[in-house]
Amino acid sequence: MKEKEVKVDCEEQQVVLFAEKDDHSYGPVQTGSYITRNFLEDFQLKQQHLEDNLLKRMLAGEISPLYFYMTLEDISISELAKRAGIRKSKVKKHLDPVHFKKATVAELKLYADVFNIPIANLFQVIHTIQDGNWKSHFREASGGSAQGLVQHTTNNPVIVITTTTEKS
Amino acid sequence: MNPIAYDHKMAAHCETGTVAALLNHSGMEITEPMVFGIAGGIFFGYFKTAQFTFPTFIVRSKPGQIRKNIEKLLGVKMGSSTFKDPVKAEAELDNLLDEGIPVAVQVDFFYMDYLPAWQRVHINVHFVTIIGRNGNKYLLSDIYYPKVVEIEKDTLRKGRFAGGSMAPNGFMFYIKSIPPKPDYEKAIRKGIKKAIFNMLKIPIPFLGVKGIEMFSRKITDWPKYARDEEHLSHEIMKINVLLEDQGTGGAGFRFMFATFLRQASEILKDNDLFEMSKRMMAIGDGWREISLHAARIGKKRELGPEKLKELSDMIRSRAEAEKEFFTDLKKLV
Repeated sequence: MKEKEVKVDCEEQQVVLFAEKDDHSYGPVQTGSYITRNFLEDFQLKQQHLEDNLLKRMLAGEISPLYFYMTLEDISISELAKRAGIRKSKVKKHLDPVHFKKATVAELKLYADVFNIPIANLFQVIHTIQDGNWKSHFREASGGSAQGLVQHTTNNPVIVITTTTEKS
Repeated sequence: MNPIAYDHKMAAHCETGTVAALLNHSGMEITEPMVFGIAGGIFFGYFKTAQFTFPTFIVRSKPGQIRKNIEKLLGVKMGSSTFKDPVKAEAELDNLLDEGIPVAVQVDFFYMDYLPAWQRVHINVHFVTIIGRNGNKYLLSDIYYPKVVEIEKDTLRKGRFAGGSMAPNGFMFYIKSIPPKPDYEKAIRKGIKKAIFNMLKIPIPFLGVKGIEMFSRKITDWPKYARDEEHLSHEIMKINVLLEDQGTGGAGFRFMFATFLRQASEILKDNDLFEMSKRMMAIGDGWREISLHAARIGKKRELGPEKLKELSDMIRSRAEAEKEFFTDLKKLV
């Protein structure tokens, strides 16, 4: 592949590819990501559709919050079981809303830690007046401020403080 | 503390790039492709296991093998540890940093919060280098990111102690010493032999060239594993991500391997290897076409049997080309 053929203008995601230079030597080229440059919107649209669909099913009581987050984060049952340290058979049960209700607080905390969310977000969907699109599956360090809400962990592992913020 | 004077620059892949950067920092002049090639990093594996939500493939050797093979073949001495206790892991890291030693740590990519959300997936085998600390933050050099960043201690701890497959367990490594005169010629030949073994000789039907053949056969079955059309589109487009964006240097490491062969031909003064580097670059071009084709048909939702057959044929042609290539390469070493 020639250097000029791998060059993509994409500030958001830079990558290093190897290519043939003008002098016919082979070497690294820092460039933008082709797929992010051309198809990020398509990816985000599909993610939004997936989330909308899962939310609808969760609100209808067809799936548990665990199923919601697991599917959204693209984690398999096996992997979730390993990460949470909970038996696979039990994880399978907790995907069903009926059995999810029987999960212990300790088990729910383990799941919440895997998804990097406060345990409270396994029981609530937060909509704000300003921004109905606030994501309950935010990443603590980056998700809050731009969305009008931020959640702070506390020394109590099951308590989170949810605060409104000025949108930046 | 003052950060360690460390030459941060982007590289193609987290393990090869991190190992090369640490070696460069220690005074050893070696390129990322040379690290990759000597370590016998080129590979292919097709997987459909419970660990993954969908069939997938890999294009490089097992994570961690690059570092181990470089230690073994070039005589580099590295220190490494895993931990059960995060507090001990942090204390050990801090001690090394205080001595002015940059330390590579294994993390779950998901927690690297300086990266945009769409990039951050749960992969437990990402490597970053810690080059300083400041209060509750560490200074971090990630070869996937254009500049040095700060990361909260708590966040790094989550990344280092994520559970699941290939859990990091706080793993870290650093360079203790480099050999005065590494035997590059011997190491290059061993690396090439390892690559040939990986691609042709492993008697498992989903690894090496046989893995590419399996990928070409199985991809037409992918619709039956998908939730819906959008899910299938996502998985097909992920072929592009796995081949190009997830730290491969393009074309599923084939461009990087071609660059290694080119550099190897110069060191060994071997014109045959020079010619092989051109052939590998051409093979990589074919993989790049697969990437682009997958992205385009995924975006257009043209995912019927005909289009998947086209993709399957393109992948099969890579299997044939690589079988021929590695068979010919075997004759040269």
